[in-house]
Amino acid sequence: MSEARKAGVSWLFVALIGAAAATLFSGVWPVGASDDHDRVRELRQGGDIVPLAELLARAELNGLRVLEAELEDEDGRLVYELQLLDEAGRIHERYFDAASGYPLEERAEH
Amino acid sequence: MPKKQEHIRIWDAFIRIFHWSIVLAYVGAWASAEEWPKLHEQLGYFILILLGLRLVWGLIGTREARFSEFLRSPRNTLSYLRSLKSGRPQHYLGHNPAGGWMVIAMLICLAGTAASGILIAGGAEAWEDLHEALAGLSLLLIAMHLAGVLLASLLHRENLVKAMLTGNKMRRNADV
Repeated sequence: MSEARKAGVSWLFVALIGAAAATLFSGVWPVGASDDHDRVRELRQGGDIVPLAELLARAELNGLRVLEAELEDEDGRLVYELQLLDEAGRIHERYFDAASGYPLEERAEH
Repeated sequence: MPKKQEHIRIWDAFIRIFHWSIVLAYVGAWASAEEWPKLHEQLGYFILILLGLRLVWGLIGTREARFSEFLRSPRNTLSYLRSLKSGRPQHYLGHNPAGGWMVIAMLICLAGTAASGILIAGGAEAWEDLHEALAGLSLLLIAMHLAGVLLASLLHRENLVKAMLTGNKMRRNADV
């Protein structure tokens, strides 16, 4: 192999360095979503929050359909935020204290 | 005859990125040794992989990367070291004989440090003394490496740090 060709092949070895770094260090600094999932699992297993399924069973949804459910950290207070669709096609947002499962205020959007 | 100088590529992309990756990982390994064991361990694996790639590249790589090109006989190396006193040592495009052996010493020392560290991580705490001794030795070798780089840069009036960044050196008459 010519020296010029080998200089090209050296980039393949550079790519291997990159692949090794990506594999080894992605676990040390977890990015974004995987981090959140781990946290939610810990909160559930520790009994710090009511599981979403239990909340949905308990909340009086009166035929409302769940469009979206989010768990938010509002200044240290964990809150479930539900987007619900009623039969007239309107979207409602309902908030629940994640620790107790009790409803907070209700907001309706168009 | 006028002296003709030209830029010539001596350090390929892998050699340069390998070199500076080792520098970063090494500094990181010292910084994380006490407080961040997980990161420290991952850096150890990373260094071992870097060394493995360097070993392969030293057998099949570009001219200046190959061990067979830059490892010179002890006699040759001693005469190079003696010529430093004259202030006009032979100029090498790649590693000079002393630098070449220093590369080997650092590679072996780092491999031993990383390997003993991995044994410790696996629960064999008996390797801790060796791990720390090799880590200390690596500091000494790196200090000598830096002194050698400085000395050779001054004697040959060339910036070897810049050469390891750009990959290029100026070819001179009577280069080896």
